[in-house]
Amino acid sequence: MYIVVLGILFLIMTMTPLISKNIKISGLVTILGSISVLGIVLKIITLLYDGGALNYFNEFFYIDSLSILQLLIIASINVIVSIYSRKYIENEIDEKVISNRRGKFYYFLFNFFVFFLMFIALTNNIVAMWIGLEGTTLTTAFLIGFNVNKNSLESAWKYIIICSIGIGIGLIGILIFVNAYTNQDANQILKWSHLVKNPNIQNIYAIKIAFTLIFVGIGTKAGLAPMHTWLPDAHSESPSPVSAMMSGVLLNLALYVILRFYLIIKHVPGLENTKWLFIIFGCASLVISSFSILRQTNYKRLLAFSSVENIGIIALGLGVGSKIAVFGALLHSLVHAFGKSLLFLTAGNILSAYKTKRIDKINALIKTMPINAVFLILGMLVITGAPPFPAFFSEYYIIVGTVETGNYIITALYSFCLLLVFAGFLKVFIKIVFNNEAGEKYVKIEEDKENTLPLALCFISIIVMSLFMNSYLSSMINNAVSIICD
Amino acid sequence: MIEALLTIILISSIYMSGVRRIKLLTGGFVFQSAAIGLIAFKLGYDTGEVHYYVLALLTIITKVIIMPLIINKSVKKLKINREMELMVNAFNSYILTGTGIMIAFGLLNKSHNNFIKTGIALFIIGVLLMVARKKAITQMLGFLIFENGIVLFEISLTKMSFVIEAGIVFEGLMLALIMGIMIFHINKTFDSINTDSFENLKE
Repeated sequence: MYIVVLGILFLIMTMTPLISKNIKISGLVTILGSISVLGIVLKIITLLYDGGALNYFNEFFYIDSLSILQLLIIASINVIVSIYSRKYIENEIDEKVISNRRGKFYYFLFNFFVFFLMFIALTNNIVAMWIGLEGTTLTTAFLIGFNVNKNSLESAWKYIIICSIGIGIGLIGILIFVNAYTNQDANQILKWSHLVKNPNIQNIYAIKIAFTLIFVGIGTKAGLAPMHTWLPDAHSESPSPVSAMMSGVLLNLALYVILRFYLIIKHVPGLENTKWLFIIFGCASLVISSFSILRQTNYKRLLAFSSVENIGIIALGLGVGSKIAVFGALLHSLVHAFGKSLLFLTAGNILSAYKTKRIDKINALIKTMPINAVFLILGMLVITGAPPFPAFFSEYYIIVGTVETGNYIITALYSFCLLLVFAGFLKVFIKIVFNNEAGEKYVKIEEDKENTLPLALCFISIIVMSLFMNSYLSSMINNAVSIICD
Repeated sequence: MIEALLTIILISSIYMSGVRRIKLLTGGFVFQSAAIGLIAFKLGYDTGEVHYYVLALLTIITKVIIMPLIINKSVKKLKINREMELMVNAFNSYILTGTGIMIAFGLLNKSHNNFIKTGIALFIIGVLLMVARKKAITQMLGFLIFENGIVLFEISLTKMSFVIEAGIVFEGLMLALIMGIMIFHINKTFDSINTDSFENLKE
């Protein structure tokens, strides 16, 4: 029932930009549609409050506590970003940067992109998950190259080449993976819920190769270092709402697909070492991104590298595998989605006022754009894990997890990288917000008040999250943790 | 019969790895895809399963008819004939593909599944074309060869439902189409489709 309603909603949302000529109608339909999608997701959450799972259409769609978390992230970020997109696209059309037709094309691609994201989180078929990931590559390729200039086309081409090879390798891995389970029912073999209950694998060696291929291939899409090279370019050149959606939601979701495969093979004897893939790639992402953050001159690239860092933290938490670390990783994916969207959207506002991405060209933001400056500082504190915000707790839980399992070297490396990131962020943002150049007068910019509602919504969600930590949210995450750890 | 077709696939891919003219490259690609389509037909004929026929039909329609048409059209429109300077020259490319095929067949010499060996050889050659060539259109052809390798894997490894199989082939086609459109944009903005001109984004 809910699945059918979701399908109809997405059909309406994608078709409206193609049919109607007015760009405002497409924007409104996207906002209303995203709010109804959020409503349905909240309804499903109440159904799954005590754990358990829902099946639809002969188990093609399968919702459990783990996918609920992803659905919540997708639906809520989608609402925020579609509210932002309306003003953003109208501004671009007013300034004659893009034509009316391209604006409609944006809404079409954007809604299709969200459709594929929901599809990945809802489906139970492991090859269908791959099809969804490939679909996100198809739709975001044009969204990254949306501004059709030299930089954006270069990054889009890089994105297509690297991610298509990566995701192709992932498919090879999935095919080998399925083949290692030969003599089973052909109707059941592709279902995740079936595979996870029947761990009688024929060929352990094949599964090892297959999981490594899946991890490297889909990890390219998740932006784990050293396969992250497309990410800083793509996230810094795409329109800001798209970067928010990609770094907050898409990276998470790619990691979620890898996690689904990991859960299948986790308890098979002889495959315990696969957790080191998560730990090593997570640590590599942390180290590479934290040193890159220190020497960036472009603030959108800086945020993109911070996404690599956060994905590294989440992967590390999942790899450590004790209950508290997994709890921290899941909480962190939730906080990171909201915090990074807040930062990217604020960066979008600054970009549209200043028309530059260079850090050294922007000074004394607190005088020129006071509202955005406050949100920038708040977002920075959220993302680096300053105490009152939930990111502090999630990062702390992961430290506790590494100490608990006795990986002291990883604890040291992890804390050192977090410190570096904190220093890098503070240096850049304090300079942007408070630096006064001698002899210059700073006038307040009129555009400061525009498009601040989505920023406020982001921040309110983070506050709500930290207030409900002890009751509703933690029981939800605990259900997901029990799926991963048991 | 199937062995002969697999040989055609391997020979065409060796041929494609060193050729400079894009028309000849496309010709090799058509041969290769037709051979894959025929293999799927033959398997369908032998086993009597419908999904092989579907795969054969999809491969022949998309890769033998539609993609070459699009590539030839864009070659005419963009006025490119050949790859001027290769990053790895023709001689070395032949040697690399040869070693690639040897590695693929040597590593798996215990297995009797020739599809997988040929598939791995195609992955190596496809990635070689994507990495060692400068023209965006050659990189796209490299991706299509990679995709052919995936189809061979699909044929040999598992039985999937028809919708899923069609989804995989369809998305490969869509990705190639998007690459084609992007090549036009790149040509308009950079005045060439050499990926050499991609040097704006650096650390």
